[in-house]
Amino acid sequence: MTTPVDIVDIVVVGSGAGGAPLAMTLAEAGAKVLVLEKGPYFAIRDFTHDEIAICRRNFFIPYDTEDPHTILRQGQTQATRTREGWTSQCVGGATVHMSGFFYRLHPEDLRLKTLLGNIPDANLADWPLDYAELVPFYDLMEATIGVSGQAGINPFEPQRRPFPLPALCPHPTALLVDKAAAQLNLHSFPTPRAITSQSYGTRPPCNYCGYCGEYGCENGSKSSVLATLIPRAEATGNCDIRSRCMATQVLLDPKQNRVVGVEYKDQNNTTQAVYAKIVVLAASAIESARLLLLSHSPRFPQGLANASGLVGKNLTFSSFGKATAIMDRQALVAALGPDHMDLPFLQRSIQDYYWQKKTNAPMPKGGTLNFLLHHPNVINAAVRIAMDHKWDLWGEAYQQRLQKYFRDELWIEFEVFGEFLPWQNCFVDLDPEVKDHFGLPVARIHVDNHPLEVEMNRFLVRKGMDILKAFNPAPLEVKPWTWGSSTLHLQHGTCRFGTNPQTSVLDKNCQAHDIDNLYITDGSFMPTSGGVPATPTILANSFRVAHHVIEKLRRQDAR
Amino acid sequence: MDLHRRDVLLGLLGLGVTGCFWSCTSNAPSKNSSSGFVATLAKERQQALAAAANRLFPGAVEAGFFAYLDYWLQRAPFSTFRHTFEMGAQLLNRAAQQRHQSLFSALNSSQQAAILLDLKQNKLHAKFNGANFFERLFTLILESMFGDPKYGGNRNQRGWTLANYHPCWWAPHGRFNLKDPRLPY
Repeated sequence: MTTPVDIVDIVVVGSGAGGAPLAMTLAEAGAKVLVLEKGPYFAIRDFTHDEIAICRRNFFIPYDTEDPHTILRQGQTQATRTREGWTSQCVGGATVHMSGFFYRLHPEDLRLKTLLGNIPDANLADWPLDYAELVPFYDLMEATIGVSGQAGINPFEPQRRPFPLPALCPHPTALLVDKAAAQLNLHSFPTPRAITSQSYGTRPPCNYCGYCGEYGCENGSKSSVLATLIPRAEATGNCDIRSRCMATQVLLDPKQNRVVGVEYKDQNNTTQAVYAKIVVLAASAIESARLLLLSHSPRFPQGLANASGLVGKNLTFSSFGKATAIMDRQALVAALGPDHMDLPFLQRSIQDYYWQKKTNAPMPKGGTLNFLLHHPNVINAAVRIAMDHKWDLWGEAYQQRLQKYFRDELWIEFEVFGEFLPWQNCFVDLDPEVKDHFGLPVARIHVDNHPLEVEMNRFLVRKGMDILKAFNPAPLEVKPWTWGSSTLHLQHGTCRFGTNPQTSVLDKNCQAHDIDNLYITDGSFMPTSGGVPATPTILANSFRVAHHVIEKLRRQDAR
Repeated sequence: MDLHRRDVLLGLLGLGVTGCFWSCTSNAPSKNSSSGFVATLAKERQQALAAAANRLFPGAVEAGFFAYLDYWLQRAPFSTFRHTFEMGAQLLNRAAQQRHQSLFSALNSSQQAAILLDLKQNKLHAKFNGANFFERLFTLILESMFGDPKYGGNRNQRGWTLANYHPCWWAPHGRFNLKDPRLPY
């Protein structure tokens, strides 16, 4: 008995920011596309505000008992199971539960090696791409999914097109940030968001419920690829999204250096295969590297497309820091009036420290300060307050503290997204012991921050705290929450692109140097992390690669 | 618009079904019920757990902490913590017995606090990770107090009332006017 053989033009592994733009563009161009997605296919009605189910269980990210990564932090000798390092498992990937801070990279981000020179132990590289080549795809991406913001206010960003949507309405305390920044000679600007501030296509404007980060949008206003690109891809009739299917191996042509398809486990745990002219991996920087390492063969003993030995190396996250200003609600109402205090978005950012030539900063490359209100999650707030007191505050005293938080206080925070320096102590490989439920070795993540980056992050947090302290009315308290750490859901670098096959895994078009028809379009391609969350860049780059692939297919057909 | 309305209706239906489910399963644990974890504990351990929960967060048990605990301890991966909870309750009683010749639940507030503090500092038993248990217990209490009542906790939305929190899927219209000229930008 024979089973029908699946043959398509393109198979894409992963349906998130890296996979969806390419899948949609190719499907619209007439190619037959199959997308394999490990997670489920949620409908809008699956998205609720149930904090327990969505944020504290395995709705987006699996338990470490069912589908673990292992992690080895600096100084540890034994890797432990962790839930860290997953972005999200569902159709649409992490764009479904992102907060949607949609800053573009700056031109300096693409030339860090040239600009910073040799930093000891750091493994910087320039992008093999000119910023001008990326800009049209940023424009295309923003127009396609709907990004809101206000162009022309941030003096540190190159001149750009207007945003397709006006900026979201900010909370009145945005004025505090604006005034404090002006006083310190800094430049605050409205944070660009992948959220519709007005109707956009068939999608309604944001309802300002505030449950963006960690949640799926029940309104369809968050510009996730699930709400935007995937319906368009499916509407072509050329794109098949196969959820709950996990790619386990990329299949190699027995004779040539080409891949012929992907082997995967379907939702019944049956092994299936799909054959394609072109294979695209977009399963997240950690998982795409893992898939390549799992796809080793006698011809590629150290992993597919890994002649350089760099697959999994140079893993970068986003250098992260955070501090909080506890504001007195009464004082805010007295200063700003009682209205609009329920608005959820503070919507202010500062990029004065993005690239600085003449300061006392540890290095010129900094990052972005993103000001926001504390997330409306109730359990999270209660747990955080307990943790702030090291779990030593109980009973009535704790309840009074909570009531004070909910009734009398407003927490204004900022997050730092900074450059994460790639170096030899941060990488991903296969765990020699722990296996997933298919019996495949899981990804082992080695996390360590470069000392210079930690110092830089601390510098940025201090600068941010200066702004919080300059608020008028003055905060009750300003305290750092974390600095010099990393956000493990923003991940890049494991298959960096470049011109030299010895020092990079992919070429300029994100095609593997070693394999003609293998592309990687998630964050893996980025040799440096940039000082902003990478999601918009991954989306834009995926559109760019899609155009290259279309050209390539046309050339092949013409032959 | 039709789709919208259908979603709302389906949502309501879903709530109805879950509500029904809960009325069958989340009753106060009885001795005969074989499903609830708490009901399987000896009475004095139940009381110790209840006293500890109410000492950490007054009113937690009345708001349905045990129903919440039962819900999750029936499900992976939380079911592996059943033994931890049983051990924890036993250790609280043992410490109370050693120090005050009494059950944990019969101690006064400051005596209970002293034992809980020792639990948190891993002083009750060399082989029992008291700090871990303490944080897990505290976190589950907070989840039960402030989570969706459909899991058995937060009865009558007591936690949300305390937090001055109003659950809503949509920001109520008219709460703010986006065209208000006083707003920046």
